[in-house]
Amino acid sequence: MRSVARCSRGQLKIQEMAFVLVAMMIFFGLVALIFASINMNKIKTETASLRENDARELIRKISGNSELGFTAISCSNCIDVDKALVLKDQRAYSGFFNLDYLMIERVFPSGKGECSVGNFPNCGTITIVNSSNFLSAPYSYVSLCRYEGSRDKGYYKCELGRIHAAGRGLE
Amino acid sequence: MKNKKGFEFGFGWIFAIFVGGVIIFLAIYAVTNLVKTERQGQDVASAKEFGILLTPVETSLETGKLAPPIIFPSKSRIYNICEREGNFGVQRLSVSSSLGIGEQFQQPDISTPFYNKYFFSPSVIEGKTFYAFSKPLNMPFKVADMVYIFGSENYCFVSPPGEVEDELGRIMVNKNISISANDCPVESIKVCFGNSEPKCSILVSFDSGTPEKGIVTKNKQNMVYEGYALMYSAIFSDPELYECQIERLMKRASSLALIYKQKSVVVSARTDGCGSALGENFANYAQIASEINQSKSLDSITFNVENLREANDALSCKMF
Repeated sequence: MRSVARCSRGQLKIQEMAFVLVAMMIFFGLVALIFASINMNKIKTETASLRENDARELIRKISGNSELGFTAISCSNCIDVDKALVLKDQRAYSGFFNLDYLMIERVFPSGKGECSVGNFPNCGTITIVNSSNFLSAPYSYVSLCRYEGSRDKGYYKCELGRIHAAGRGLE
Repeated sequence: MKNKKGFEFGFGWIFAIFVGGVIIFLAIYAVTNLVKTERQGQDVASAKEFGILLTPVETSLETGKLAPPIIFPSKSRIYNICEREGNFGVQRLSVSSSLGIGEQFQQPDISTPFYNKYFFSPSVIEGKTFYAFSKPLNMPFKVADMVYIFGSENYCFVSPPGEVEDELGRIMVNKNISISANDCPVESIKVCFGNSEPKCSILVSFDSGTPEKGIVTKNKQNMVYEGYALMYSAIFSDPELYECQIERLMKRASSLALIYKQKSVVVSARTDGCGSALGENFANYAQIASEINQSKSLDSITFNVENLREANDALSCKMF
């Protein structure tokens, strides 16, 4: 009788320990989950901030970009509309700017609809990159310039525009 | 009477020691991994931020620009990798920061890609403060901005051409670059121009008298340059990186030439044929540029560059 009682006390102890171990594992698991979610949030915030910074820096310097800058005359913050119209159809440039969204908007004179080589200047926007959903696209005012007139008697015409960009995050 | 029973080491103790050991081991393993992951995440973010901080250094109308010094919180290493694959190749930057305990710099597993940037530096740069300056590469239209990065190492330019001396003197005052006829600081990287002097780490030899063309010899390897922008590129980077960047730049120049070709068609349609004659020049340029994959072949495009420059200057509707 005595040995049976001893045995059941031992079993009880093992059961207690097992319960404590399970409780500890659940506790540590919960702590790890909370930590991971806080960490993920931190990374998401950091990524979003980096994306926005990237886009802001890019639109600030976009006129210096060889594919979009207007270089025929010395012109600061000027975009070459003709190059932009050609660039939007270039498949080789997909992913080149590291952006999720890049769009040029004609502000004055304004227009409606997407621009192409055929309908320019009776249009409103030139969308160069539009790859996925994005949260915000900061913009900056620029001059949209092109050559107008005839072969010998022409002039450079600049209009007011805005360039919108949303950055792509870390890969 | 002595107690012969001794210390009782029951099942409870053995179990507690075993489980405790396992828990401590798991905790140490988890913390080590966590620190490693956290460090890696921080390094990736630093590399991205480093690239972003170098965006303002790119030029618009300027011929050269200096970035404010970029200071890391601790001593760091920047790994600069260039890959030729793809339409434009890719520049990859990764950062490894020193933690002060354990392995000082951990090998970075993740790098940040930049498709439209050209950073010239040794493949690994170390320091806490990094300096960068840029120059546009015009062939004859602007191809890209060359960004030169260096860390704690000192460069000493011995007898550079007047233009180089003026430019470096103007933009690089007290930024680990000195210009000297013969008194270079000890342990500086000596860049000699024209003639080989003893203890020259880098030698720049001019081609037929003009300093704008020539060969930069570094680590016993020759790098051909055309224009000061490429001369600095060869001086500040490793030969392998320079050759890779040349191929990337030529791919971009080729694509740009095709954009200009299409632009000439658009402009010509709107302005009774202005610029239509340049279409063929751009097409030839694009073809030749796409075939250049090393600096030795840069010579093959010189004629087309001059040709395009002259044709464009003669136009009323300038393409670039």
